[in-house]
Amino acid sequence: MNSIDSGGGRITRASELIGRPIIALDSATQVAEVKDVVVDTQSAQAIGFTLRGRGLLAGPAPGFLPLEAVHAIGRDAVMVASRDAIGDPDDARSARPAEEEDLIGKEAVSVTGSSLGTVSDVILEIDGPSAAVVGYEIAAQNGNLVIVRAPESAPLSPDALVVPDEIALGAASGLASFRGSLERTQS
Amino acid sequence: MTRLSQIKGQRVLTVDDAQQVGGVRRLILDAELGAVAAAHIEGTVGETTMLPWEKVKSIGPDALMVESVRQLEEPDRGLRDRIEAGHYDLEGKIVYTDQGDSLGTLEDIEFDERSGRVLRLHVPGHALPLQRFVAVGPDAVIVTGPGSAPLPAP
Repeated sequence: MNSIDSGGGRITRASELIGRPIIALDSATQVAEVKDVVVDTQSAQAIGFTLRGRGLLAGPAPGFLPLEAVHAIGRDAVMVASRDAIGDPDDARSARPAEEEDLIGKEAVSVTGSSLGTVSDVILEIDGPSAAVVGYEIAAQNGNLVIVRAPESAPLSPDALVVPDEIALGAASGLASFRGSLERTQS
Repeated sequence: MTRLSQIKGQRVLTVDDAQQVGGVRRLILDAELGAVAAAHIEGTVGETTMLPWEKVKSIGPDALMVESVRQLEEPDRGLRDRIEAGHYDLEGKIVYTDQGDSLGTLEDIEFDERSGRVLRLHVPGHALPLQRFVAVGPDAVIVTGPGSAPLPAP
């Protein structure tokens, strides 16, 4: 499994959460599975999950699960108190954010104007029911994957994600070394 | 102490008239009590398919004995629905902690044969002491407890 336990939380790729079952604690029923992770780049937090039914023959997507309705994001499942955690998709509380953009595939450019590649994944630190965006995985043109720390402010537009130079230079080659670099900056 | 695998498939005989009333198809767990509440019997006449666990007189190597056929009961509507939805088809279900970590696939359940209290859950390579069931449902068994550090099987 591609996740690493660190002191505070668990460092994992957002893509690892896709397909994870969403299970209701009151009935031990699988109510949906994770289709995608919605993150807010301004607050650097995951704010919820889009959902799909179980398996390939499932019906239409059963809505959006806001993170505040999540009991825990585990290694193998996302736990909710009950099926009611998944709001009606038309309900304001469970509405998906309008300005949501797809981060994956967006070009990452350094402040000094060099293209670093395209965003291939988002790195999350999961602690109980919360998930902070701590990094971005970037696929460089040469095919190498690197992980950069999520900057304090990461200007993002439909065109690009802008990354400060010192962060681009400190890119890590994998989750393990990324975790090491996180710990160094925290201490 | 006995196990789900030892009870399942056992025939049920009456002490009063030596009648075979059926065979144990599955065990009905009461998640709140953390105990086996009843045995669900197949092959009985009519709808009286529930044998409340406290009515089991003895568990032998070859049969489960009950005093008489009158001790079997009809399941209520809710229980019948849960049986049909697969809540009590326990083997093969994934055991999760309430934190969303999988502890493995349920293979067997160890319980006290008198009280019905569930003692341990068997998953591949481990016998997990049960603290508390959160829920037993159609898709999963959810528990609290020592999940993060499962004890090896004896």
